[in-house]
Amino acid sequence: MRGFPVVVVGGGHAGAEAALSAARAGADVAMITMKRSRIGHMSCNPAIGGVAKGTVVMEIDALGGVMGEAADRAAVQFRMLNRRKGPAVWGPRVQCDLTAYARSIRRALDENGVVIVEGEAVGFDWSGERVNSVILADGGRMGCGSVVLAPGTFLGAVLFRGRERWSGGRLGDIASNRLCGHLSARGFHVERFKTGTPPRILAGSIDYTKVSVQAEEGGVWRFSSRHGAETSRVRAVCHTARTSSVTVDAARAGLAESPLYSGDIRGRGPRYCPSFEDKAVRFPDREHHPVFFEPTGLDSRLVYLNGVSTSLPRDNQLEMIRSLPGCGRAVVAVWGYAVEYGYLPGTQICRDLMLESTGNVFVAGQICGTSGYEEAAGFGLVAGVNAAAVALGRPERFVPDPGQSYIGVMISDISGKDLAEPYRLFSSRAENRMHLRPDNAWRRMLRTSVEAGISRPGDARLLDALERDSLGIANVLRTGRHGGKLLSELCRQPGFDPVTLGILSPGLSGYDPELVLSVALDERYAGYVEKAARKAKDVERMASLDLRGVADFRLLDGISWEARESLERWRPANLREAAELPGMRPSDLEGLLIGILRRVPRGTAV
Amino acid sequence: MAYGIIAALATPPGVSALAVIRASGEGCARMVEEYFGLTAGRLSGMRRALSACPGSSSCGGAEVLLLSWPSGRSFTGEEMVEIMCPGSMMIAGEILNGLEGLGARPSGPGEFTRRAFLSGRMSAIEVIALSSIWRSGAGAVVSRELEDAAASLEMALGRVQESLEAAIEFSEEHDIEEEDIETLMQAAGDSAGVLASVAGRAEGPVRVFLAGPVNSGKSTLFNTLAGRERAVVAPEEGTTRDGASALLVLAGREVELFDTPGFRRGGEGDADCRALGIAIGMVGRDDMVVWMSRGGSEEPDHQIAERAGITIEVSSLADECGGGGLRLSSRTGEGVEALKAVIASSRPTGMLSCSAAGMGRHIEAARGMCRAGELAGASEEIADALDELASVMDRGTGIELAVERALGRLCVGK
Repeated sequence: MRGFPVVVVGGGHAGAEAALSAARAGADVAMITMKRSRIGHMSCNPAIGGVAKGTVVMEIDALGGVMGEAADRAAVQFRMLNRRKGPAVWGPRVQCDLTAYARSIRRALDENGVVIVEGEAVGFDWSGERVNSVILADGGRMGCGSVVLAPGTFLGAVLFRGRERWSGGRLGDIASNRLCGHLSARGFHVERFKTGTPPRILAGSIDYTKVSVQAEEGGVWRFSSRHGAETSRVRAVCHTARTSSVTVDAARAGLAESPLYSGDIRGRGPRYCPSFEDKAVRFPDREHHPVFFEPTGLDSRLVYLNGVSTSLPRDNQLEMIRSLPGCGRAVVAVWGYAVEYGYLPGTQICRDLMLESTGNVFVAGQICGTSGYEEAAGFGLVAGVNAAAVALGRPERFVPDPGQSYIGVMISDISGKDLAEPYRLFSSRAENRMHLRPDNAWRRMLRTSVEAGISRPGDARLLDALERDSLGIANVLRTGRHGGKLLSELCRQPGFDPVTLGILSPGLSGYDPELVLSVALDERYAGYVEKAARKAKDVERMASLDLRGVADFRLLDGISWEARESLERWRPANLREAAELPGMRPSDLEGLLIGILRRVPRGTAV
Repeated sequence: MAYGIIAALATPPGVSALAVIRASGEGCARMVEEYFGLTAGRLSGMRRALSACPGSSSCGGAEVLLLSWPSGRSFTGEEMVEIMCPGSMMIAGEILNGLEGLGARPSGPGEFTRRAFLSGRMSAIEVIALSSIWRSGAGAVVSRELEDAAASLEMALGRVQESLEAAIEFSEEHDIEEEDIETLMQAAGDSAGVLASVAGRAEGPVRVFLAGPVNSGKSTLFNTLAGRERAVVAPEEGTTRDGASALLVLAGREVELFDTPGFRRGGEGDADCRALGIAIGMVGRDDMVVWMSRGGSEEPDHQIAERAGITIEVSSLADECGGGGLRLSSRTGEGVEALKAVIASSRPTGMLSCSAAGMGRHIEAARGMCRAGELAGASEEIADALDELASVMDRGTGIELAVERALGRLCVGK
């Protein structure tokens, strides 16, 4: 029997980062995947990044991960979302060439010596709480020091389209049914979530004169701050259009056969990434929903129709698509479908992403209840580092601080929690989002990376230079003046463009302009960042507030619906418990505080 | 939380048919039982008992009606007893003395209401509304109006926050126009303005104290501003020993003007100490002090300046003594209009007015942030405004101090 210190099950975004970070941490790694050709495949939308998610990609880059570089290389369109909404919430995102992206991931795995084994993991040999070996479908076994489970949507998965339903992890791939059964039999609690994907249509069948071009935005940038980060020079064009009442009617007409509404799908889907039939039902007054035509690659003929995810029968899908501008003769290459899959609720997941009551099993990605490539990759990276630590007998665990990174925010949002729906990262989930910016991701995470022993060669030297320069710039800002004002004061003035700092102060001319900008933004947001820290303390003090007197949490306003429903479902006894509930954001907690303090029935002591 | 037992007369002092004494705090029922010689437990829970003053006292035999409430169900939220006795100061005084003998402490101004606030029975808004009713009687702004204004502001701020967050997180999927956010912010700003004006009415006119050393022209200024001979003015030092007051409109702002006794720095005499004590004792956080000294020769007394919400320094008798800053001479009229303008334009001093103004500033800052393309910053400002609003709508957190101030003006035992 072959054996590896770390065995990663799954070759998606979580699995790839897990394998790579375990390798960087010094472990020999094997990856078990059903199809070598699907490693690093983007199963849904052909884009990486977004608000907060793009920042995660940059954090991954600083932690030595590969997602940023791969996305840069595969990029066919760059967009800096929220360009005019402030650098704190800029959302770096690229459209990718799917093939190029997957190729980069495979190359990184090869370069890092990850051994790829094609096969299906169907169970484990246990010795007490530890897994000794992974059992493969062909009867083979692979010994392991620790395991990372990253099966994506494959765990006990069922695909749906209209009345059709079939077992499968993704269109064209089989599901991990035996692994799912093994985990259940072993006593793990497996719940079900749902997600879906829109149809892909042939580029040649679209009349592009009827749709608008969605331009690039925000100039040239890279996810990766590594020297010599490459990027594709060729660009593809995205288009946008809007649906009409015909689209909405077509969706409604199919509802009777929709697996979502017939009750066939039990699992909850992501509220923030709804199917089009969901939109038609939940927003009956709206008919002009945006649709984005996203090419899936430079050589690909398929166009991904972002915004019309659906699991309706083919007829209804066709009617919907044909109602879109420029799509009167559209040819559907792949029909939309929904997938219902098993996940392990976060109540069984520790902060280091080890599965509870195991000694060496880690989880990452959708098996934890997350959605999104970036979330998966962030979890994968952390799970890989800790799996390597266990396999190599090291005591330290890597648990990123939620005050310092979105990766930390995600893990603290999931670990120990019971989610009501697939988890998507938002910038507002951070307690301190003015601090968790894309521009300083590298500065925030590089020291962590070096200290955790997962950085790339040469990073320690980069870190020294980075910290020295940051300090130097901060000094200039705090002592230098322009027009009688300290430069740091200037930075705080709304409307002041820190890009001009280099011109205002000769002392800054020797530094990297991007770093100057980033340190200037630290100065700009310093007041907010300090305040957020104080607030976090206040909330801690209030955590013991008694909530048992609240008759109906759903009647509280100033809180998101997601949080209200969660509160009413779990009925926490105090604010601390409320804070732990799925779907509660810091802003919801504050809203709850305000709402409760105002509505406590007379005679209830607070 | 236990604060000890307090007891006080809740009805106006003097002769009346009935006087009501209130005692509040853990153990007060037992104390009252003991004083009136009732069996233990007679007043536990929500009970009513007829009794009589103990024979040993000078009012022995006088009938009293005792009402008790358990903690959590009384006005203060604590265990509480009301003693209704014949409306004679002697009897009421006797009972209060007796209770004090058993360990009760006389309550400070507004202490019952303060306890109601601290034990979560009233919001700051309700306390302010109540104090407004007590101060001005009919026509006062009632809590309903304040709560409505606060609720509309909360809703308006909530909508701004929602639209900002949606614009940040769903930048491509939603069609939130910047003009829409601007309109919502405008609405929130208007709501804050409404709350400020209701709060201003509820909190009443700002109190302005003329303070300073003897013979610095306080009474002369008082008379000038009040437009009539109200205070006795004389060239002898220390003519004013008791304060005079007048309700005025200065440059459009309603103020209650107070003259205070002057004092001598380092003065040893009884009168000086008393004068300083009176001046200090009268001034509170919500008040404005006009510190007057001849030609600006003396720094404001630090105790007074610390207590006052706003201190305005004036060089008085400027025609004789000169001085810089705000120069004032009641004789020539120099600086009088300027002083009126300064008083009128000073920020509000009332707690809720201050808060409302603060919320208005946050909303303004949010608009600036939005225009400067800083949506996250704008959202933070709106969150601050909501925090501020929460702190005045709260029950019993964070703003005890502010409520202390509001309560400082209240009659004992209300």
